[in-house]
Amino acid sequence: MKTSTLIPMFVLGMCFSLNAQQPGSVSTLQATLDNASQAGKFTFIVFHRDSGAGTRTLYQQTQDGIANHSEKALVTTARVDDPTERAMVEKFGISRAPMPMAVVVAPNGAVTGLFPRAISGEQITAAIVPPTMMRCMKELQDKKLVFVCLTRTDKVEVPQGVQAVQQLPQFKDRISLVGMRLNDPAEARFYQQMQLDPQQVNGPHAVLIAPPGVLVGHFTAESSAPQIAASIHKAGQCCDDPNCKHGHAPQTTRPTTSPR
Amino acid sequence: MTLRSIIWYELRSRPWAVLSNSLAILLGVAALVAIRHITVYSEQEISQQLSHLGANILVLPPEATLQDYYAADKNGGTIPEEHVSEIYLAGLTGVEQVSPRLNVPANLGGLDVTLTGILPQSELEAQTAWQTTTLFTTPKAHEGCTKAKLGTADLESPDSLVTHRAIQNLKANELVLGADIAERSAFSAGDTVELMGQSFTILGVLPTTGTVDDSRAFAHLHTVQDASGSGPVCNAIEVIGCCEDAAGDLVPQLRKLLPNSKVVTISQVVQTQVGVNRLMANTSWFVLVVLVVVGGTSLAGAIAANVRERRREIGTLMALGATPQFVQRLFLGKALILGLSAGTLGCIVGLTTAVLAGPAWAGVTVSALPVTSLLAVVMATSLAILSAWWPARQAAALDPCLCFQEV
Repeated sequence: MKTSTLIPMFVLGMCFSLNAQQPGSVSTLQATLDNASQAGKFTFIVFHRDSGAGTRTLYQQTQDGIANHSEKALVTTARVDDPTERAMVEKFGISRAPMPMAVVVAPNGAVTGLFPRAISGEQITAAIVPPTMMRCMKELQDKKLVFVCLTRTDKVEVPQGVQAVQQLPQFKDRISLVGMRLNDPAEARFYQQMQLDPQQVNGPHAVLIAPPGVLVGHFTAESSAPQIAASIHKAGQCCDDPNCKHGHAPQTTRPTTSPR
Repeated sequence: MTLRSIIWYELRSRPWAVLSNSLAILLGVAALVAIRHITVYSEQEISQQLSHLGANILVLPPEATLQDYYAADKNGGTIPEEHVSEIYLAGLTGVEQVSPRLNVPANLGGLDVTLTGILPQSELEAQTAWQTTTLFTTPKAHEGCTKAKLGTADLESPDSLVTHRAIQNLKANELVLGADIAERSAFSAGDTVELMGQSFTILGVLPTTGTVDDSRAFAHLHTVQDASGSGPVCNAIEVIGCCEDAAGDLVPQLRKLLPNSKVVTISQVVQTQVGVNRLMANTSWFVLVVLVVVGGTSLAGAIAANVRERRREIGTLMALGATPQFVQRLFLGKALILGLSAGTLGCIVGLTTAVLAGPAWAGVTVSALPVTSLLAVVMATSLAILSAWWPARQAAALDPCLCFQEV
């Protein structure tokens, strides 16, 4: 076997053995995530059940892929059945997921990608998301409705209708406002995702995104609170199918009994 | 002696002849009633499934059969539970809810039950959040189904297992009972029971559904896996598409994603059931024809033979003053009683068969259909009278002098 192949395998083996801790000790993964968060880096965690060929391949793919993003990302490993990492495994919901799996965690704790068995360079690039997208993903994963308020200055202007919706009892605990500058090249990808042309934006403008990542609509200074609330209710429908079972009642409330 | 007493005397004195004469009618009516009952309830079941389940898709082991939607997860084969994660990770458009199920036999307080392992939706919330990553990081624009998840409406109560095929919260030691089991075991919500060596608290009792779910107990999938030693597997994964269109597109995508599994829609399962029902309906017509031809011919032949054998007794009766109408009524009355009793008995046998075999044959709970039962009895009686008509006329036309000449 070539020396160039043996070295990464040795390093990987060391990583795996170091990560297999005794029960009751502090989570190494949590410590790594905390450090990465402070450094503003994305963490690529290679979860695995064994140190077989599949795990080594995924680790190598991840390692090679982040070589071009070393200032923004780092890679670590964790055993999915390690008792000390149980809380993290449960948090990510991967205890019964196909292994090995690369989970990408942003500096703010948002999960920006999950890749079972294999990962490509394009997927790595896509998982390192722009700052505003990262904040939005975190809020959406916390089940919040996100209004992305667009601005050309440092001052965020929130449309009046959005402010009014924020005060409504059914929405007040579920809305999150995220500001985004319109002239930031780093956010270009997110503009495209929101179907937004920065040149067309004049005055207060907010884009509403609902969990899990559904673009609900664009709202300006002219948009009223009832219009915005109606759009949120309509987002509970899945399509224009007249037989859609979600099309008959708003989904924002939680009835205590089943409608049968 | 009156007409009635003569008929009763005749029937009592030849019980085996009575039984053999009416056996064909009895069996025919029994088969007809059983098949019609199961067919009617099976058709009702299909209609109920279509209205309640809509855009559901089932992921099954490749060897699974499609006899019944509700029992499709009881085929015995298994698929890995990690398919649930793979479905979420694929970020397929239109996936609203994913529910894995595992069935194992168990004994609850002396009752043999099916213990079904299910995964509460609260434990799939992380996977739901995975959809965010797919929606944001895939290069293509999100098209088609664009339903936002704005709450966990309708899944909080145990009843949601019936209405939405899923439940929001279910702890590792909690159990939900089907209506039949609860009734037979007399357990109710809040009771603590032993099942597969583990202690469970009953979270609730489901309303009657008329499906195999009535005779199931539901517990946490991972508890059932651990107790049965099955490992991280399930018998079926139910994928609920957010609308019919989305579900239609989902099927080929799921087949591509999980090539070693069978992916079917509710309509495909229902089509299979519709075919079975059509076959049963046609069979019931066939049985009706057999009943008319075999039952009628058999009874007519038996009564004609009876008339031939008893010419001297008929002649004696007529010599003593019995009119031809009296003799005719005598045979028709006997046929009436044979038809009525064979029809009623056949109806009871058929109904009992349907009630006992319905859940096993067609996965439906059967109860009596009064109109169908009454029609079967009336038809059997009419058939018996019609079959006896010609021999009775022959008996009435006998000449007593000729009868005595034969002595």
